Amino acid sequence: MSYSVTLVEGVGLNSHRGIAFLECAEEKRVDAKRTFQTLKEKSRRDLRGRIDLWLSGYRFDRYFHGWPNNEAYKHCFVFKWKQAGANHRLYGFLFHPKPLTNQAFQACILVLHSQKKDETDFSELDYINRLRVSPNVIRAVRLAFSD
Amino acid sequence: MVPAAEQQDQHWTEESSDAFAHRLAFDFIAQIEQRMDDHSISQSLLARKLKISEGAVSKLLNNPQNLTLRTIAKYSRALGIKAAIVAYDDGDSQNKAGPIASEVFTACWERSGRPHDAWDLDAAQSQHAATMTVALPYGIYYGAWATGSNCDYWNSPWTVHHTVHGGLSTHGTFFHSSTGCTTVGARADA
Repeated sequence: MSYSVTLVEGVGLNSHRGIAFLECAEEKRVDAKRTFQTLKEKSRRDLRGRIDLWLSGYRFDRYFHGWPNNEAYKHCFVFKWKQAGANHRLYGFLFHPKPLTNQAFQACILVLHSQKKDETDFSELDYINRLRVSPNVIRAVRLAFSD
Repeated sequence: MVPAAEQQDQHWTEESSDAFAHRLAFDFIAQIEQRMDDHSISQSLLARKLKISEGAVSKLLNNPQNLTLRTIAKYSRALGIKAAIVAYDDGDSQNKAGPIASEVFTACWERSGRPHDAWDLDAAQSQHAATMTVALPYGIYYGAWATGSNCDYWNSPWTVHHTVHGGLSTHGTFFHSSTGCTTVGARADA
């Protein structure tokens, strides 16, 4: 599989955090960027506002959160928004891609979109966990956020 | 190949005034929803306080782009909080970094002792400076004074740092004011 990582346009990054999309032409399930690009303007702005807050270092569980107390999913992350009464999610994972120059720098790599019904579907987080440790994915992330 | 992280563009709020306004409204709604979460205030309770339908509250929270000053005032009063419009110059006239989150301004105000006016702020700064003088750990004090109009300030449990943009760096006790900052009793870097 061939993966690439592209920054979320228009939100920038700082010395603490950055955010990007994982892309893979061969895997339809990796659709976070496609979803983002097809969002209506209002929803795209809502989502970018949430990303801005995360990049600023603030905690807003209502808009985004990880699962730091769940050992199996502690590297997973989600951004949440509502659109036409439906609950939308962009799932991804957290990664420290600059071990040499900025160990604390944290990247959020968005992977897939989901429309949440009730509870979180942990099979989606399992899928993200598999990608998270894939050497090809790690290589792509490190390339995007190189030291 | 240039790393993606180096291919920076303008912040999305630079697209248009509508985009910028959307972010301002979003920031306000984020604070409102945080207040509701922190105080267990449901949408129905807020609706009762505002004497409007729950649907109207939900609509505003989900579609705040047409937020008016009057609505900001009504929601703030209903939740027992106040709101301010703050204009600031962060040296980013091209808006590459986007607006500063409202939470930053709120945190600064709270850390300054929640001053209500200029005198409260001056008193808080004097008290803060006195505390820092006592708290400063070892070092050689040489009584240097430095002033700057553009400075960064942060502290950790062990050190106090003060960096005047342009490269001059000192450690010590200092006062901030609206016109700049003054460093007092600077300590030579060990």
